[in-house]
Order: sequence, then C-alpha cells, then structure tokens
Amino acid sequence: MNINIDSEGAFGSAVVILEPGEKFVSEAGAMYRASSNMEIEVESRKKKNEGMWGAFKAGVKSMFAGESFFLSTYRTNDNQSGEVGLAPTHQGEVRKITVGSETWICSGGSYLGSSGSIELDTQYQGLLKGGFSGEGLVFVKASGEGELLVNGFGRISEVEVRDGITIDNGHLIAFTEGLEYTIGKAGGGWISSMMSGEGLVMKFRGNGKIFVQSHDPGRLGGALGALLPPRSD
Amino acid sequence: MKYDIISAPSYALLEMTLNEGESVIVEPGSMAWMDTTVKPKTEMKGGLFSGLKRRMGGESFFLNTYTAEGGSGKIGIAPGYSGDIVVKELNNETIYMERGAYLCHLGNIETSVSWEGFKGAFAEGMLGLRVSGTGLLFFGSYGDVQEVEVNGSYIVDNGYAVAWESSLDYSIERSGRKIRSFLFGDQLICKYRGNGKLWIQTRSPRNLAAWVHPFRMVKSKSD
Amino acid sequence: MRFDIKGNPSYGEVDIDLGPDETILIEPGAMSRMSSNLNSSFQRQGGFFSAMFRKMFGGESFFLGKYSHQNGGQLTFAPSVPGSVQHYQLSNNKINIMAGAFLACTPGVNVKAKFGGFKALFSGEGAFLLEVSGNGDLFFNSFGGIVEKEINGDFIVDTGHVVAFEPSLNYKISGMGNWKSTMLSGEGLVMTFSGVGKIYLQTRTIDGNASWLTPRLI
Repeated sequence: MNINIDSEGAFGSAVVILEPGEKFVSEAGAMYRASSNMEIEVESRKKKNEGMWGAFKAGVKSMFAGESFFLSTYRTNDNQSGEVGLAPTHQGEVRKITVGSETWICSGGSYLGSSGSIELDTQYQGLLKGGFSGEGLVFVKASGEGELLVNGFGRISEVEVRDGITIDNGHLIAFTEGLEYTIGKAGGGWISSMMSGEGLVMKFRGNGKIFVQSHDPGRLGGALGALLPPRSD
Repeated sequence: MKYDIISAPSYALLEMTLNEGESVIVEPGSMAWMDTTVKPKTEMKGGLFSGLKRRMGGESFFLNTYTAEGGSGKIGIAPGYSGDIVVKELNNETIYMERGAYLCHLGNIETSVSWEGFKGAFAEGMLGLRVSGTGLLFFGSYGDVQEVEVNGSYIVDNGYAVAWESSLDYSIERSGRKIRSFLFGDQLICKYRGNGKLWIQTRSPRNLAAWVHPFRMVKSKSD
Repeated sequence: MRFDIKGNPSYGEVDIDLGPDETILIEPGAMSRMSSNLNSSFQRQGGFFSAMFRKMFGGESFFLGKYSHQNGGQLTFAPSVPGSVQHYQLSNNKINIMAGAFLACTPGVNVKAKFGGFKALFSGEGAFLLEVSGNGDLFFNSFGGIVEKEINGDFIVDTGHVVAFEPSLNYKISGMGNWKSTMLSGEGLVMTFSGVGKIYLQTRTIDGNASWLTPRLI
C-alpha cells in the first residue's frame, strides 16, 4: 500500500495505491477517481456487537448532523494493483497520521479514510460529558496499526498543549487518547449570542498530540447559507 | 493579447490585456475588474436562433463580449468557485466539458449545450458543453486540476470530471453491489473509455451543496 | 505584541503573542485557539449607527471580542472565508475597508462605519465601508488571493472584489451600463475608481460563490 498526498494547491487529496488483497476504508462518497479494477463496497457503520437497526437509527441522526452514515471499502478485483483517489468535501489539506502506539480521536468531519487494519469506532461516546447534547461532536476513534487520513478546512497544524490550550470546536481535527479535556462555551457564554454556531471550546491539558485546522467550516456555512435561497425542509 | 493567470492554483484569476479592437467572450458574472477602455456587450452568440437552441439544452446560454475600444485594456476574469484555471489551445478540435467549467475564449470557437448523439444530462446535475474550433479556451476547475491520460478505461466519480477530449467515450454506472448501498451513499460514477486526455478536479460542487444544506434558512409555510 | 501571519495566500491565519495586559480586538468567532489563561469579553465598536440599522444592512458585527491577560498569552485567529490576511500599520492615517474584510485590530485603532450609499445597499455586498484610522495594527482579509494595484486614472471593479482602498481615491457605484444590461449581463454592481491611490482586490467573492452554488442545491 502506498499513500500519495497531493497538496500542490490548497485542495488536498490522496491517491491510495493498493496491492492485491489489500483493503482501504473511507467515508462513503469520498472516492473521486479510480482505476477500473477497483471494487467499491458501501457498508454501514456499526458499533461492536450492535445490530443493523441500532446502527441505522444512530446513523440517520448523524446523517442530519451533516455526516454520511456509510463507509466505503476498496479492493482490486483482478489480482492486480490499482489506485483509488479520495477527496474531502471542503477545501484544505490532507494529512496522514500513523496509528499504532497511540489511539487517535478524530472529528467526524475530518475523517477521510484509513487502512483496513485500523479499527474504527464510529460512535465514540467519550465526548458526551459536560452535559452537551453531542450535536456537532461526532467523533471517530481509530486504534490498531495502520494509516489514518484526515482532512482539514484550511491548513493543518500540530499544536502544543503546554500549560493548557483552548481550542474552538470548529477547529479541532484530531487528538491522542489520554489527553485531559473539558468542554465549555467560548468566552464564558457571551459569544454564542453574537454568532451562529454553539461556540463550544475544548480545553486540553496533559500530554499528547493535537491537530487543528486554520478555518472553521461552520463559519463559512453561516456566511454562505445566509446568501442562498431558503430550503423547504 | 497577453494574459497572466494570477493567484493560481487555488484562487486563480485570469488577467488579460486586449489590444485595441480585440475581444474576449466571457461567461456572464465572471468579470472581476477592468480598465475603462474595455466595453461590454451582452448578446446571444450567433444570433437569436442559436440562442433558442441553447435554451433548449435546459439553460439559457448568454455570453458577454468584452472589447477594447480607444486603446488597449486590461480585464480580470474569475469564476465563482475556488480553484484553478486551465488554458487550452484548440486547433480545429473538439472537447467536452462540464457546463459550469467554461470561463472564456478568443478566436473561432463554437460552444453548444446540445448536439447530435448527446445523451442529455451526463448525470445528476451535470450539463455538458461541446466546445470546438480554433482559438484559445479557458476553463476552471473546482479545486486542483489533474490531467489523466486515459489508455483503456478510467473511473471518475460524477461531479469530478471537468473536461475530456472527444476521442473518449463515457458511460454512467452505479458503484457498489449490496442492496442497502442503493438507498444511501451510493455513488454514480463515470467510466471513460478510449485513448485521450481527461481533466479531473479534486472537489465536488454536489458535496458542497449537500454540506451547506442545514445552513440555509428554512422557508416559512407562508412563502 | 508580536504577530505572525501564516498560511497566506490560501489559508491565512494570525498567531499573536500578547504581552502582559496587552489587548487584541477580533471579530467574534474568529478565535481558533489560545492559551487557556486568556480572558475574553466583548467590546462595542463604533456607536454611530443603531444596532438595528447595522443588522439590517449587513456589515461587521457591532461587537468585537476582546482578549487579554495580566500575564499575556498566545492566541490564533482566522477569518470565516479562506484567503489571505493582510496586516496594515496605522500611524494617524486612514484606510477604507469593505465591511466583510475587517478581521482584527489593536485598541488604538478607530473603526467607523461609513454608509456606502443607496446603490451599495442593493448590491448585497453590504452597505458599509469601514473607515479605519488611528494608531496601531489592523488586520483585514480577502476571500481568495489578494492583489494590490496602484490606480492612476479610472478603473472599474465588481464591488464584491473590492477589499480596501486608500481615501485618496474617489469612487462611484453603478450597474453595468443601463439597468437592462445589468440584469442580462449577469454582472453585479461595479465601483468605478478615479484618482491616484492604492487599492486591494480579492480574486473571489462570497456572492459569486453563492451564485455558483445556487443551481446545484439539493
């Protein structure tokens, strides 16, 4: 398996070259180009031991949160190598994270794909403390050994925690399990009345790695949505 | 005529300097800035009848002509979406492109939205444009542009194909085989066959439209 | 205060290092990450128009986020649209910027809303220009790439592509030719600049983006 990240411009994408027998997983619909021998299967997201109906209910909810419910799996079908290109929805960089000694918790909108050997828990509940409804807090846990592909809106940076770092939820891409964090409202509450979006921030402490994105898709959505014709549902 | 593509590859804008008397034909809404010596004219290219033919393709297809009068003049041209601009010299050739990708052209080039053998829309929401003749053509990509030399066949997801040479054939298929994949998240793909050049973009307008949906205001029942 | 603009031309964002008790004022929502010790509150900006009037006609929010701490701290902020961020030093001079382009400033900078005239109202670009003056640092942003031009004579710009311009330039807002040709041409309102001075332009517009997306909506 070989992952080539194309970042020539500001619209990153990844082309994954698969040998016969190798498997790659991505957010359903992320594939934009592929060699003709690439077989694409669309699966449902399921928690361990969860039945199809339970996963379906949770999936429908996450679908309205802007997440697609399904994952796609790619393999070649003719015992030859092949390629599959994956592209995110938003403009921005694509980055590869090696998962192994560390387990990563990745924001749902930032998850692009992962090698077949990585275990994905797509309904990670760990962030629902602090009494928040969980809307906008869709996270995916990636563990095992392999490569994780994440995408950011804008440029991706790794930040240091130092004595404590506060990150606006719209800018968070992924962090390693083990970091301590609390979820709160930005600016002690005043900011949510001034702008669209819930204005949630996560305050991190401890040791670990964090990837952030320079821009917040929710803010672009607010600016663009206001200029578009209204919807009927 | 001189041109410069600035701010490429992500927010590319075409700055063209027209000599006195020279004209450029431009997709409406794409003029960003210009000298006062550049004069606009809105017309249906080729007269009323051709305009009607274009309208039958499902969209009205007006083009604007900008001409430098009383001196040379500079004009800046950019599409509404972010990405790159591709320049293609046409020498008595035909290429096909996604309707929204067309930006501008100079020379003896014909553009049409319907033609013999056209299967209608390429796929959901993707209207085609046939561009042929001799001259200089500029088109845009949403995102980065990648060129693929197809030799046999190649798959592109619907929405990511920008333009292709007429030597290529295409067909639209569904990916995935499982029954539940038919309900959700199914992908419509274009399979290109033959030998020729294919231009691919790295972002999909349809995905952006789906993402922006919850940010739109909801129509009140009284509307 | 030290600042570092990273990510230009595609994804400009600003890293700020605040000294003890130094303050930065930024557009609400623009803060992306900061050292956890910084205090944040809000500050009203420009009392010239009622809140209702500003809300009706778009433009910058009435309030700015204010960030500071007695020990100082770090903060990173970014605009809502991707593009370039420009720093402009003010030393008792003025610059006009389009309402949507304002990003942040230091407390010695005055931001005053200037009514752009009735034609600007219908352009949908936001009726306000901001006249920025005083002493300090100003940060403004573009959607897409930013292009600086020295104007000497007349120059026509689609209003959505204007970011900022020096006050030595005069301008006139109009449609393209008569109203009928404006409707058919697909072009929006344009500003015709005259005089001598510097203008900052952007290579994309949020309105153009919305127009392009509209026929593709589900």
